[in-house]
Amino acid sequence: MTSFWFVFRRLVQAVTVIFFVTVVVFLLLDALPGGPARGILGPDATEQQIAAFNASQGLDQPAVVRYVLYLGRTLSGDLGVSYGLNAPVTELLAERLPKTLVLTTLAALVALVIAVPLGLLQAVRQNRLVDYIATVVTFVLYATPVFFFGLILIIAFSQAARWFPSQAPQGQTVGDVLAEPQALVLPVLAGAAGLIAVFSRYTRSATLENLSEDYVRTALATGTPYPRIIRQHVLRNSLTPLIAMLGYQIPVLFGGTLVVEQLFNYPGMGLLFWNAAQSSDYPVLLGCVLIIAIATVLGSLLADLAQSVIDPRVRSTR
Amino acid sequence: MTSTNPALDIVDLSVTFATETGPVDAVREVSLRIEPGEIVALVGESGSGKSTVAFAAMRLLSGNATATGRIEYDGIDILAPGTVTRDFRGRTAAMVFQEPATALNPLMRVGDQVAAAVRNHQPVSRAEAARQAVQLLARVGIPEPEKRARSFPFQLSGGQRQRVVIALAIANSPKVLIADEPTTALDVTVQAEILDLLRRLVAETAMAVLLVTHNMGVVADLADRVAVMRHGRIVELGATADVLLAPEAEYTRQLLAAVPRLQLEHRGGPDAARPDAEPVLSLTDVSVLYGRGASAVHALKSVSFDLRPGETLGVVGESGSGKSTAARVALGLITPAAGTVRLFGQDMGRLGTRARRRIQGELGVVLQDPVASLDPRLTVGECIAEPMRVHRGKVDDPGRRVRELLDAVQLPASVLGRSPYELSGGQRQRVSIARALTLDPRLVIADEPTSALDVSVQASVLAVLRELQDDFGFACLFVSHDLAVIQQIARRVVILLSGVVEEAGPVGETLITPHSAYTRQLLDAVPSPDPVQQRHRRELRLSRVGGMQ
Repeated sequence: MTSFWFVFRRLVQAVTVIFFVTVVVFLLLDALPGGPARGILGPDATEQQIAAFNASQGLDQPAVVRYVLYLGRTLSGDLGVSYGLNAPVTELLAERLPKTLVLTTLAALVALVIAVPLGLLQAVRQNRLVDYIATVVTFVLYATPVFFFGLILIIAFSQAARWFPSQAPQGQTVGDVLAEPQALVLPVLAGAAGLIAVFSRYTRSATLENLSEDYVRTALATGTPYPRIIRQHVLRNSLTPLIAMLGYQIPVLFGGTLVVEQLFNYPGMGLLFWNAAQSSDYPVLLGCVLIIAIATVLGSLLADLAQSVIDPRVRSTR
Repeated sequence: MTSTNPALDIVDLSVTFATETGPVDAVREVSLRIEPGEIVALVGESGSGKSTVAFAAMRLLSGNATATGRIEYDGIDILAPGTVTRDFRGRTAAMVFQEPATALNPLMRVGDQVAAAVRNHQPVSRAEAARQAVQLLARVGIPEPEKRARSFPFQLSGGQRQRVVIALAIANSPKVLIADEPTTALDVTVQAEILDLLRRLVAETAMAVLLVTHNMGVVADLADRVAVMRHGRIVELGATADVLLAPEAEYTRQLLAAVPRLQLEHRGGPDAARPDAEPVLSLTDVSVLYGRGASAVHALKSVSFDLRPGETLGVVGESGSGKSTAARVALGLITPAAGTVRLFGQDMGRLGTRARRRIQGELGVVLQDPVASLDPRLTVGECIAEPMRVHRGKVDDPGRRVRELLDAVQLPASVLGRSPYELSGGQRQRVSIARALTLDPRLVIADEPTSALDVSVQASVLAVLRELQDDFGFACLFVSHDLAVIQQIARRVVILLSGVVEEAGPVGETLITPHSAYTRQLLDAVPSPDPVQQRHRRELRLSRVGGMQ
């Protein structure tokens, strides 16, 4: 009962946030000089052509009217038609989003598989050589921009070693993409690099914090062997906050994809967004931002729910 | 007594901690022997090294500690290399900790935690371990053990959590139980129950117990023998009755003299209140709610009391009774949901922010934790002068005022430029008191001002407070859980239970011949540092409890 109201309340909050996001993005795009007509029709277009384009797209009406029209269409599932790609935005997103999800999910999974054991090892061997080396490596990864790290990967493993292709899978469907796993390796690694640093630091500090808790001492005093203390108590208690953080990382994940997709020419939502931004393709931009906003809000909602499943104390305070 | 090995034999134990400022000797040549079935208390003030002995005996000292000497369990020295086997912790020796709130894994059901402890030493199936866990929970007196086994620690009360910690400790029938301040974090009625439990377990199992405590009442209640520690050494060791009734060491005498004792008989003497004077503080039907809707909790329910000029009113209760909430209401930190708060005759609910602030300048505050309530970035002088900066122009010569106050709380002028961190706990609390008095308040609100202090320090802080009250004439709202302290310092007392005034009246009558059953129970639960008296009190209490059931 209480958890139903909790979910309900959070959903209402989520919808409100998404609404405001669309308002803000719409206003920002509207304030940009030039407008989409110039971008789409090219520099040679006449004033008459531009006016005709604006009239046909409803762009000559006041901003409030345009926004209300946009919102009404959005609610009925119509996100408009792309200016440049001449296809409904919904259709574009339906094709591109799953591919981006594949890339981000794989990158996050790879990052977790590497970062959690690494962070744990660093905590258990705190201030020893392993910890120092891992700290330096992860900080370097964290400080390296994604496009730069991606280029290094391409040069090293595609140009010099020729192990993996430098271009991501170009397939239309998720199935096509997954059919070329070797082409996914470099994009996934590029996406995972920064996350490894974030996740391993997080795991390390959460584990250290838990290791200094009194209940670890209690477990020692009852004769629990150290490895079992790590497994039975510390690991689980340290991962709880990490799961929550994962949900909050969704905007970061999308931000990373933007660069990775552009770099490896991966036909996902990031590349769509990139190209739309270059050509002032309003409907596509707003559609992408909407999706990212929903994903962000849902991510934090899921994070909270996951935390309440794992941590009984969170469950009881609602 | 047979001539077999003692359960625990500590010989010439010394422990040194390597710190940034050089080695610190925490324990120096301590020798102590405990026979099976015997309870030996290690008593002392903070920094005496008593807990260090306990942790050394469990081999749970931190990495920067070096222990020398011998700690023998049944003839085997655990300080010698290779002697600490997997069977040692949990099976040979087990430990009960001070803080039950943090001693358990918050994300694991208590039954699972006890079952895991069972499986540490017994090759039984999960189902069998779970069954044993329920039995253990029943044995330590947890009601509905099958149901409670599925609870998480936060769903249990403090006393129940400590029972679970004890269940963990006895899960594998250890020969020696080391209890480090096992009742310090608990309310006095819960403390009595936990002490009863420990006594019963020792009688049933013939465990040897090393009981570390600062509470002489706990020693008198439970221990067969007692060792008094100071500066890492044992200064006196003997049978509990001998040490507590006829102490030989000067330090033991001082320590016992400082322990506030509950007066059990009427001392007489006038209760010189001034019933005609207008109260400085008056709460009328004050209610405070925490939370909203169905889950709201009444922290205070229709609480009324008056405090008259120059008087000290004690507010007593166990944790969750609302006593600190009452102090916060008086301070204006909480606006009550219902009722009126009158401070110096003015209705606080009707005053504007500015008028309230001016009135609050007539208040002084002393809080429980002197470490947390003094800003570490200020010097002692700045801390004391701070209220004069907030309420500008109330004092003509701030510098002179600070020196006067320092003198009044009996601190040397040399501490003025130091950081509060460089002072001892008692000195810090005196700085807090000086700061409370800076603006010459008409009312001082003290929330557990001596609870974080050692008894000898507590005695001196209470003496300073009383002396200042005579000189300055302020009224005092004194919140405490300690009935003996209230008896020493307060003239009237209000006893709170779950946010309701259970009983109120002059200290002399209320705390000696109470009308309410709860007050009686509270008084009965306070252990007396006199072992003979305490045995009598315990029997009386148990017969009353038995009669109630």
